[in-house]
Amino acid sequence: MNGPSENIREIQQLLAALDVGELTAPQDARLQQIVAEDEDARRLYLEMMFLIGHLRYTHSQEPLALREGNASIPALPSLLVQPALSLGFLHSALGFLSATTGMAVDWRRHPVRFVAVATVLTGVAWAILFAFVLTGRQDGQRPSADGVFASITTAKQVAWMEGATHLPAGTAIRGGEYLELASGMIEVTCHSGARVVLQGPAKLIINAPGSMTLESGRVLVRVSQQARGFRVETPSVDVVDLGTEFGINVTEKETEIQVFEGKVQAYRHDNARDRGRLLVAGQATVFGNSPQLGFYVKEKKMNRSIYLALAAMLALPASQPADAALITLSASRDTTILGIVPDNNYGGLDYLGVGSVAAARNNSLISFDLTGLPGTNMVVTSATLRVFYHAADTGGTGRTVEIYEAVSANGGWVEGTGVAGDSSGATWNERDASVVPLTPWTGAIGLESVGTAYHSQLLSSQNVLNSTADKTAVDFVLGSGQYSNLTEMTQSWSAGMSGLLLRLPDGASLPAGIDRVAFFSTEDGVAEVLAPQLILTVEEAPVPEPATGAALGIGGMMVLGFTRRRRRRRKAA
Amino acid sequence: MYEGCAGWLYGYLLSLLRRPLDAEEVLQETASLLWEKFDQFHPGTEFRAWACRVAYFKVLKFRESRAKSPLSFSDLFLERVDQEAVVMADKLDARSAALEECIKKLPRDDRGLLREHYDCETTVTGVATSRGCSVHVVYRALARIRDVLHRCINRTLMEESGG
Repeated sequence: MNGPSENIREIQQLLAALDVGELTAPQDARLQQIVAEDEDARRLYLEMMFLIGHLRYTHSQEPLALREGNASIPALPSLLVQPALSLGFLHSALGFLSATTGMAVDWRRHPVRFVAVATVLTGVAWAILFAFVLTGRQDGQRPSADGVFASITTAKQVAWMEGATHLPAGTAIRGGEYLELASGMIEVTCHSGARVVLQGPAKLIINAPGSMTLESGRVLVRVSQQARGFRVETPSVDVVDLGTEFGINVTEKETEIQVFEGKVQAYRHDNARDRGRLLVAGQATVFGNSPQLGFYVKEKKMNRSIYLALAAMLALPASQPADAALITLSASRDTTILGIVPDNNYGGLDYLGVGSVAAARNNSLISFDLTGLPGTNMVVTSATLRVFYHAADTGGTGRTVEIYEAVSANGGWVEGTGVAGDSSGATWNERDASVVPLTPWTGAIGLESVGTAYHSQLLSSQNVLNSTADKTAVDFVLGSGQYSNLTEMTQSWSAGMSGLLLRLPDGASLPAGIDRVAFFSTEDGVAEVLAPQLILTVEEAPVPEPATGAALGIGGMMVLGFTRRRRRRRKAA
Repeated sequence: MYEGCAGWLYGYLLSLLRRPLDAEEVLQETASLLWEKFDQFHPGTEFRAWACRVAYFKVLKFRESRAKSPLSFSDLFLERVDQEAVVMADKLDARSAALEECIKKLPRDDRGLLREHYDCETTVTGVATSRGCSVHVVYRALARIRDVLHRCINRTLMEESGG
């Protein structure tokens, strides 16, 4: 007979089969047995069945696409296409009638009223369908699902608002992402070519490569020629760039625009037919909307001083040298392996643990696909592993995490899909438990042997505390390990990366309970980008100066001359 | 009243019957019976508890009608799930409310997958075909999303209770 935790794991596996309609009769019998006998399993079963039930029934009463503008794979609202649910809809109609009349209504006794309500609700259904189609059409113009439109290139003395996602410099920003700054400044570089400095307190949303919404606060915007037409929406006006540098300050009541170079066109936000107002360099204009005045526009004296700090940040040669680029890669595979359950794969978990569980080690592996990186004539000047702290599933005060590179013979590990522990991939004992014959790790199990399972050179080490806030970025600056430099290291990885091994130092304590830190895995499952990242700073290899080239040429000729002389001497001898 | 607890009843029936089509069938029968027997409902008592009793009765009837089905219905299972569902009723309601917020936090692709699988009732094979990926990938994605939602609900409720 199984113990309680085994029952939980088994129930999760049976639920997975049940939810896709593939529960066999013996599995069904087993499920009933566990649920009947184990109280914890029964509670989990009910929670999951109500979750599935909600997704299948309650949730489907209101189409996701209608509420969220989700355009991929359009589908009819389920209440129109599911006969089984139409009864629920009918009862909703009766409920509605009952609520409006304040009494319980039997539709069989009030056929006319029932028909009237049914007609109204049919109309509502068609309106929903119409709105759905419309929403789908609008969505076609929206950014792609995985569109990264910008990145935070510099951050200075930043504090984020309570509850806001903390986004350090280097973070890629997807469409629709909120930047909620309590204080400090960040520079956002849009892929379209616009550079924006945001000063807190401020709220900004990146809508698309060429558009953002400033809800509150101050920004300084510099738009390159190729990004002409860049748009900043505010509560009062939408500012469209016509090749320029400008500042916007949004307060509770007004939006102030100062144009420093070039010109912008400002359109009323609440009037789609507004033909706009042209603002030129040296002009400061305030737009507002009050109950007494309605929409109003005021000319103001320029006040550059409020943008001085922002301009100083923008005046920097960006955060990297002009010929440098920041390349951010998301992990291609990752998994966590546990010595206490050496035959179980946990590749499907949303976290990677490092520490100990029940007096046994818990290691993690992360790998990236660097195919084609770095290109020829490229020099890698820094490499950082960025992981995001996962507040759940931790224990103890914190752990020191060391990072090593697994030997190439251990490179063929398989991430797997285990959530409750299965044999779908890498385990403590094997690189891939899903295949026969056995695939033991080269070196010791759990990659616990220095030199044979992983290279001895430490790439990075850091003490991570469990008081760290959830989703905080934790950066491990990587050394070049057994390679002579980072360029050589990444070139080697581009041919196939064996994986970074995250482990405790040798001799670390392994207490009885859970004593580990955790980071989000590629199964982060949330809107933010929380999967492990490899951030590379890549620069073009220096091209020799003409003078240097000439000197090399002369040197080359001298070497050649020397060789010839030597040959002649040898010949003569 | 029924409108307010139809979703809950569906979850309850799905927990007892395990198969969505069976749960939908019994839900329709339960709804009809509720309207027929509405005169027997005593105002002031809890509608959901009464509806639950009616639904349970319908489940037992359904079990009789499927006596020859290869899927068995253990007495103990039905009894314990019914009791636990009633005990956990308020908690399950709170979980459903939290679930709505958790769904909104999912990446767009995941919401699309949920809609395809649950709203449109596309089979896993159908979803895999439409997305050009393997069935295994879809299984895995669904399991992951369910797990993420479950954890998100737990976190939300814990935060709400100040725990």
